[in-house]
Amino acid sequence: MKFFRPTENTHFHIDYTWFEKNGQDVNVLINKCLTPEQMEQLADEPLDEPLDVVDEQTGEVQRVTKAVQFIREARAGDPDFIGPKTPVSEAVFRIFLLNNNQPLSAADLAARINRKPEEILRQFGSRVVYNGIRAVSE
Amino acid sequence: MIHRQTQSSDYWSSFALTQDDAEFLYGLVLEAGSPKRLAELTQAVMGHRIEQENAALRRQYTSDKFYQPKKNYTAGEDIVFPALKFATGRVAGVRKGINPDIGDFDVIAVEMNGGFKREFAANFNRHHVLNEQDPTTLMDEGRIATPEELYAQYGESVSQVVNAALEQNSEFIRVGEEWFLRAMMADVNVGHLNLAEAVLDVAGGGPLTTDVILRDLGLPPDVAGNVQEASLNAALAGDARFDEVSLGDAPAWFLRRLEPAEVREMPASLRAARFQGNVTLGDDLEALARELDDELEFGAAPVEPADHASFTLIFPHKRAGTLGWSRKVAAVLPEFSKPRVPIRLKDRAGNKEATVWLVRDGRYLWGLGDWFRSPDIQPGSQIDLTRSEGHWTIDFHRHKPRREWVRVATVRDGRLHLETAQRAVSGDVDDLQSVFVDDPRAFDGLHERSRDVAHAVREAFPEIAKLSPQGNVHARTLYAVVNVIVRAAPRDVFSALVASGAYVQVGDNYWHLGDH
Repeated sequence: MKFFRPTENTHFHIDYTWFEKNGQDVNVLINKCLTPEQMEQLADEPLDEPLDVVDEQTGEVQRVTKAVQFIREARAGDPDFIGPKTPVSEAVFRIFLLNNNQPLSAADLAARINRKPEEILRQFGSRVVYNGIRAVSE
Repeated sequence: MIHRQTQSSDYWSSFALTQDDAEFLYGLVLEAGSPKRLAELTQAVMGHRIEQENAALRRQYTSDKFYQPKKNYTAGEDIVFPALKFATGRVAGVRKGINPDIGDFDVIAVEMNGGFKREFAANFNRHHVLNEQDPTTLMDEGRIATPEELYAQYGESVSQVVNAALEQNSEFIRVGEEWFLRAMMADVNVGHLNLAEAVLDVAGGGPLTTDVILRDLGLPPDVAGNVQEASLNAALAGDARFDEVSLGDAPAWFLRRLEPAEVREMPASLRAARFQGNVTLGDDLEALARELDDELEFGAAPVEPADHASFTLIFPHKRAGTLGWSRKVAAVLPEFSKPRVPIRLKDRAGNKEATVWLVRDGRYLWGLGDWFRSPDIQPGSQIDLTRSEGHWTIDFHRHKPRREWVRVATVRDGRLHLETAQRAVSGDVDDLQSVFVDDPRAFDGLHERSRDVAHAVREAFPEIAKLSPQGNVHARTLYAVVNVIVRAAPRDVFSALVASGAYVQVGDNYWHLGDH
């Protein structure tokens, strides 16, 4: 595949197939988004159990895990969930968990995590894939 | 996504007024009970077309096809998704939804028209924005351009089509700048028109607005005032005795026979002779012709409005008491489409106002004879025309009167004679274009002779040349002097000069009599 150089306007998302292709379990990464207290609270819950979530505007159904659903409900408004010390790759992964993996440009992502677009492009613009995040057109 | 034809430029560029459109406009004017401007009718018919399109879309996309989460779906059913820009798809399968917080519901897999699959909730009997909304209303919302926006983009061309169609439609009648229904017009008979003539006669010809004339006419009082006005306007417009002369929206009428003769018919000194020949002018002469900005060579290019124009008076206008309605002058004057319109022109120095008529046929402003005489403003003088808040002011580049040596034209033995003589000069003149004339009427005889432009060039050239030690003649001077003999456009004068073969160019638009 020919490598292309992303720009500020290039849209990114989580490519879930990347985890399968690379023998990784995305749920490990998702569960890391929970605090120790939350992990304890959900100790008896089957975190990987699938759930159908209905979009409030379009009625479209997204299948997510219970952990993702919990993260969206419990951590969306938590200022520590994506803080200034959160690594860029982690912060962007969390953005996509919250927004149902709707593609966002490097400029949009930078604005949401209060970083410069160049930082986003430096992280995700190379051939190395972090946390399954790739350009949409790749 | 639904393709709306009314949102495309192709749709409006091929627009034609249908019988249905005409009936719609008929109903619109009938309901209003008063005339409507073309812009209003055009915008209304554009809105009507959008409404028609909406209605057709509603019929096409019947509401049972619109996706709503509360509905039950089965495999093979076609669905339209208004919330997804009217994307369409077909149900490929149904499964049970999994979410204990929601309870029982179905999930339908939909094969979208783009070829990919998406899942949607079905049998979802909980609060959801799509469950509460009438999906057909979504077609009328969103990002489609409004009739006003479409009018701003395509209104000019559409209004031309509407105007042409209404001209052909006997049920509509144009009243000034507005359209009305013939059936709604009040009966204005010859007696009424004779009365209107008498009213204008008493007022010195006018101009009087329609409501003022109506006061003395006694039209049936049961007819609404605006309909009376529209009816009288239509009747006056159809009678050659009356001229509509308003600059604004409200019609104002003038009695044609009381209009100045020079307004009804072009003054003799402005009637141009043409050079019969096909000559290609050099760049210098072309540039000079453009610079001279003669109204006879107005051209079709649009004129950019301006607040001020400065230009040089030529003899034919001095003689006729007129100014040429050149491109520079047109930039300052108001835009209108009527044949003749009077405006008030203020003399900056005298602080007096006078009525000046703008005459479209022939492109001139008449009514400046007195202004040219006091003080004596000679051909070649620099004239200023200024617009300020709907008023127009005229002036020339004044200075204290002093005696100067100038080029003076007279008639001797029925021919033009030029000499250098001292005259009182009270303003700046263009040295190349100035031709002082003591008795302008004396030149009427030259105009009455049968002359052409080439003849006038042959007569003018040696007269100009003899006043210069080198015998050189500038093309600008030749244009000004030829116009003392006969009214001619710059390109015609220059073409006659070039075509003659008797003259050679010596540079910088100066010419010399050749050896042959």
